[in-house]
Amino acid sequence: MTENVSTAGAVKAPSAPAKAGKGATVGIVVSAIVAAIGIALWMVQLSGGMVQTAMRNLDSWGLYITMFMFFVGLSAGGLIISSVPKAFGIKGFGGISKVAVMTSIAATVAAIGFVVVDLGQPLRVWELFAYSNLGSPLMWDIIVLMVYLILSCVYLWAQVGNEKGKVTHAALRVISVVALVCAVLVHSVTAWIFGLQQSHEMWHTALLAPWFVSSALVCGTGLVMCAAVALRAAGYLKWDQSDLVKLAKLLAVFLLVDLYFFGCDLLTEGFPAASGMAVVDMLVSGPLAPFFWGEIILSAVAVVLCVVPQLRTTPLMVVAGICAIAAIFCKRAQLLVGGFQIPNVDLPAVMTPFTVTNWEGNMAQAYAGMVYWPTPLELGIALGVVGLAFLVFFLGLKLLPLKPAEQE
Amino acid sequence: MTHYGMAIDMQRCVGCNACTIACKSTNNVPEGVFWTRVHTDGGDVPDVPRETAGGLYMNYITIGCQHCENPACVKVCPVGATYRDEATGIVRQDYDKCIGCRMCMAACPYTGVRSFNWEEPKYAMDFATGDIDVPKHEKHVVEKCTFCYQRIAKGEVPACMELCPARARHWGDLDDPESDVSKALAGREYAQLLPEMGTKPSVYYLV
Amino acid sequence: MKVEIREGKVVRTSAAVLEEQDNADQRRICVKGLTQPQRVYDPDRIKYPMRRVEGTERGAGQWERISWDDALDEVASKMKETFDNYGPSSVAMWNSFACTGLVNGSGKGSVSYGRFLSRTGATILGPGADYAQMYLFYGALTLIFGNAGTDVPNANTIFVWGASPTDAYVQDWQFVCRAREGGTKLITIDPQFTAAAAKSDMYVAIRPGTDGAMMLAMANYIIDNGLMNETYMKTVSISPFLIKEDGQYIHLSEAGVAPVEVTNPLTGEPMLVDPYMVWDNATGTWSAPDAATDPALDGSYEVNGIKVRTVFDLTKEKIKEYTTAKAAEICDVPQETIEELARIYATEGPVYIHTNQGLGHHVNSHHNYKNLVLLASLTGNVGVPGGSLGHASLGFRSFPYNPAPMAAGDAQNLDICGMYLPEIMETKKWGDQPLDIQFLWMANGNMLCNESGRVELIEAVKKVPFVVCADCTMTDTASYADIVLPVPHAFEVEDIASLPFVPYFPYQPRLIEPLYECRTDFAILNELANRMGMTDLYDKTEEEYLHEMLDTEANVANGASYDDLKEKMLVRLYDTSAVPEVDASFVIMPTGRLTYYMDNPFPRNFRGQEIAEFEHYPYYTHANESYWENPLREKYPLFGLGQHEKYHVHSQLAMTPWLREIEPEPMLKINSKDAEARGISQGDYVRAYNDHGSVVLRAKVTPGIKEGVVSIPHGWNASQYKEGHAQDLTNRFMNDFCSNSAFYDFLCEVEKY
Repeated sequence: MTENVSTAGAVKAPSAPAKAGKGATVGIVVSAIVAAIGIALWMVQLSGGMVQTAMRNLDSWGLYITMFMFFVGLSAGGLIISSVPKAFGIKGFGGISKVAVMTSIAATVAAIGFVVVDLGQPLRVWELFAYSNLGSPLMWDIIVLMVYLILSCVYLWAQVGNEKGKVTHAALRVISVVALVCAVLVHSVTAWIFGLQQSHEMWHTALLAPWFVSSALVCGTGLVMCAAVALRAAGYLKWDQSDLVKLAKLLAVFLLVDLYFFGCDLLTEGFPAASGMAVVDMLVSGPLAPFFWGEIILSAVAVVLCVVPQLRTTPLMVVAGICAIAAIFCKRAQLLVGGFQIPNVDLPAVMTPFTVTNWEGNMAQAYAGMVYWPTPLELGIALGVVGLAFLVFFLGLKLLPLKPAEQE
Repeated sequence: MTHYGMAIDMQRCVGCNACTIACKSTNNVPEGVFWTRVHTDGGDVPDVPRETAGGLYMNYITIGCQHCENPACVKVCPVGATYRDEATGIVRQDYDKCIGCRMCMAACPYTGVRSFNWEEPKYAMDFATGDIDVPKHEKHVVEKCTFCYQRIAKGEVPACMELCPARARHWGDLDDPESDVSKALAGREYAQLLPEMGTKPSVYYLV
Repeated sequence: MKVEIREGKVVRTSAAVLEEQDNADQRRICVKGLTQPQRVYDPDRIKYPMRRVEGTERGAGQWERISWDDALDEVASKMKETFDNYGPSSVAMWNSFACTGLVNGSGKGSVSYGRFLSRTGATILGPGADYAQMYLFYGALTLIFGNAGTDVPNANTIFVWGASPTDAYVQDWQFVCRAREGGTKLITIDPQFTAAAAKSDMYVAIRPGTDGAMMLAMANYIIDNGLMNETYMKTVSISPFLIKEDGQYIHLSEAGVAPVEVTNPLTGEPMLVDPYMVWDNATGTWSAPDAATDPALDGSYEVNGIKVRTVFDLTKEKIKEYTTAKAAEICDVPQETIEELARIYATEGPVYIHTNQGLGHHVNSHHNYKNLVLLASLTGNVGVPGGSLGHASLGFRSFPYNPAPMAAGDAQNLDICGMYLPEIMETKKWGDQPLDIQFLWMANGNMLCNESGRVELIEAVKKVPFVVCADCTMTDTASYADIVLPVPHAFEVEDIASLPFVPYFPYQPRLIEPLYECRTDFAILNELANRMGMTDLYDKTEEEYLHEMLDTEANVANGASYDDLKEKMLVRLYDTSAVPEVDASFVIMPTGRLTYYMDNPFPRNFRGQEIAEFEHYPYYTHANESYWENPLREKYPLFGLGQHEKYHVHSQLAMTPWLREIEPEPMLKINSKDAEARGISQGDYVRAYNDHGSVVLRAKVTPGIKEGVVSIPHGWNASQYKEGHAQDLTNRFMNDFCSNSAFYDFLCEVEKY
């Protein structure tokens, strides 16, 4: 049984309903509309052609794959936060585990959604299962994501079942361990899509998989913190401040680990002052600098907010969570765009509208700023997928018993 | 078992683009797409030199799919739409299988050799030019140099190899010492593009 | 060319596979040939006859479609009216070099126009382009084409001077490559760093229009440093021939030797021979050239009271002022470099100078060709293996044909360079004879795009009451016509070109039906002739004429009759001795010698002008506008240039989509320092302008062009420049001797647009 440490002077609130009420309904409606608009825009993209995006031959991935990475991180992180305590049989974070898994499921749906909207031939998705090339990291990721999605749902079901006494603690623990492993795997495999490619120096590092996991922990923790605070403020659940603080401290640790990996990578790229310098320059003072410094500053702010006791107020911890999430988004953008920002062959040749995003000048001009920046259409579709994620989350809130058990 | 490869003589190439156009014409390549391109190693735009200590410098290099023996693209294609044909050594692309994920484009170290059809292929003319058995180009899939495998299968010459005005292009079975490409390589210094990537390209550049 | 057709459409062109012995050397194709499938269906093809909309300006582009009958009726009646009221010369037919078909070509060298011209006596307006080189090297001075490509590897050194074997005639480049692989040294002299320059062992960036000074300086260096090939000078070149004070050669008859009658080996007729004269050092007196054992190269003598001197003696005097120091200043090339070039040319031979028309695009640049011959004479670099002037592709072959069908009357035609049109329209005279052009027929060329002095030419065309243009695409020239008549693409017409560049009959079968409503020049002129009462003018069909021309005894005997060509399409020339590997065509000239001297320099277009004395001998003078000391340089400091682009054939293929993908628009080349000084960055739009006109286009900033020089590409139509036209900056001023279009002879300034 957990203690119920409420803030001083608070009166015990009346029992909240088992499932979410009007707020969730509003959420469902709004996110459904956003998702629908996104789907309509996706149809526009498919019919008029992906030329309506800003992606081109020399920068062939963009916002969608950036968001894919980002959402896999969010989902993996959420699940790790939730499953570690149960796997190791230690105290958790105040029973928000089911909510965390729900965010994770929603994020996974978004991640898969982003892959789908990025495909040129989405109707051929079935081929992934008919002609699978099991040697491809992308294939591994599809498999692992599928397994992970199912596993997350099983895990959620197991938690609910456990609370109702239908699933044993031991079984739950086993499932938690599997979920934990899967969560780590899912983001490692996502990292391997990039990290195993020798074609881009910035990507090709063994550190990428552990680093993705640490980034996942950062943004996942941040997400769970924000979601829990929001739901508490909305009256959906009660949550101890000390649990929030616990998460905040954990967030700080994860951020420091992430920054540590960041530093290692930068040093390794830059020390020989050889070809890796191009990557360092691009990040520190080149076109990707805003995202680079953005990540560092946001991470630092988040660390400070989480570490200094006087700053650990609820609003500021939410800020820290948001900063952490934003910092990791900056990281994804750096990785994706940064990979294409440095071409292996940059000798001038004929440029057509399909060569590179800024094709009207010459190669130097195309790479002068960021080689890629999304079009409004891409932003619209991306928003639609995010809307879909929110829709899944709100549906979960509405239809499933996600509150901390002792509050039912 | 043949291993088709190319040798391009950089001492002779002057960037006339005959190979670019021969490919374009023979394979009915859509507007805005090029399977092989002439790159200028000189200044910041095509056909200009750069200043060096030894004077002005300008050279040309034609780059298309390198038909690697250890292709990075083949490894990562989730549906096997791009594959290496063991019988010829040619890296092929199955348009009908391609799901348009563009993983191959991210994996290939040779910037620009793979092209994605970002919209419905457009052509200046309302009929297909070139060979009749060239697979039809599709929207939203990846395409690249095919080594004109359909011409080789008929005993014909790849389009870009038919007639380089400078006689700078050679092709043939790299495993056959009597082939044109092997003879071109013999006794000449040659280099390859990005050998450190370990993809083992089948295209050689005679320097 | 192999042309593949599917369902009636041209789908692919490629290099035809020739007979085995020819494939290594003679198989050829380039981007221009490879893009012909699109060229056939170019978006700017004219589909049907059109008339300029009443009340609109010529050039405004307002057209209405008319039927062939209406078009032909109108053209025929206007033409007949003009002939009747103003006489034969009042109808002028203006062409350039677009088509060389024996049936559908241009001028007197084709059945369609030849018969018409020879019957009516209409005025011929010819091209200005390329005439500096053509006039001097194809007759006026000498006959020089160049050793065959297979001879190029025999050269020890190759100079690329006024030519572009990588861009303009890439089919020759493989021979230069072979030469280089065999150790030949390659030297490029060009204000622009071309692809040839990039592959050269030595690159000399010369100021445009000053090459002649460098040539004479090199000649002086060779003479002064004892590097002359005296034997060659004495036995092959014109140098020892004696000339009188009036510039004429002296003949033995003037020394009292009666001319001898011999039989002309070619005609079998008797003819009188009155040999030229040299001074024999061995005997101390005059003699016939072949009889002298040691002809004098220098010196003045007296023969029978007549003062004479050797051609070389005169030449040396006349070129003396061009020391290497002086040339260094004129050409902006270091003196040591000029001396090195001279030394190489004299001692590291045989030297093949790849040159073509690049040295002939300034007013007064025709002297360059005499100067080159002088250099070759001094060093023995023409008519020997590896030693040549010219370039391999011009190894004109010929094939036997009967030209009789090309004439159908003996009317005389004025043959004037078309660039004189403005002054003709102004004065209504040619020389001192009246010439009132009332009708203009433009075909086989895009004169209003490619000739220089475009602004003046357009004004002149506008003064002609009635203008017709027959062309396959809506060119700049066609835009200024009153009536436009569509002619077909070469693939749609059966014909045979007049000049084979490879050892095969240049037979051109009809591959596809003429597109749209196109009709051949032959068909059009036939219809016109009928309507004008000359119903007998074209008394046979095209096929019958082709039979008549091609079925010579020799052709028939050797399996190259018209029927043979039609059946087999690829028929090898049976007499390729017509073009030897080593070009010594100059021996055909009356003197039998390689000559840099003209005893009777006669202008291409004579209308009573004075012929300057310096036309006789090697000479240099600065260009008309584009020269260093021109006070105009205060306003317009930059030297102009154009170039023969690798993705065009002049203005053909200007709209062809595949080529436009590679090169979407014209770009002005400007040196990086000049660009920086003017605040121009890579890819900026710029305006180039001078007092004649202006043009707006993108800039290509490059260190690969000499500082102070800009190159504005020609061959683009007006609609392809953002504003204006490249040729608006040039002017019509022509050299009086060869009447050549001086495309490069302009100064300009460039500013950011």
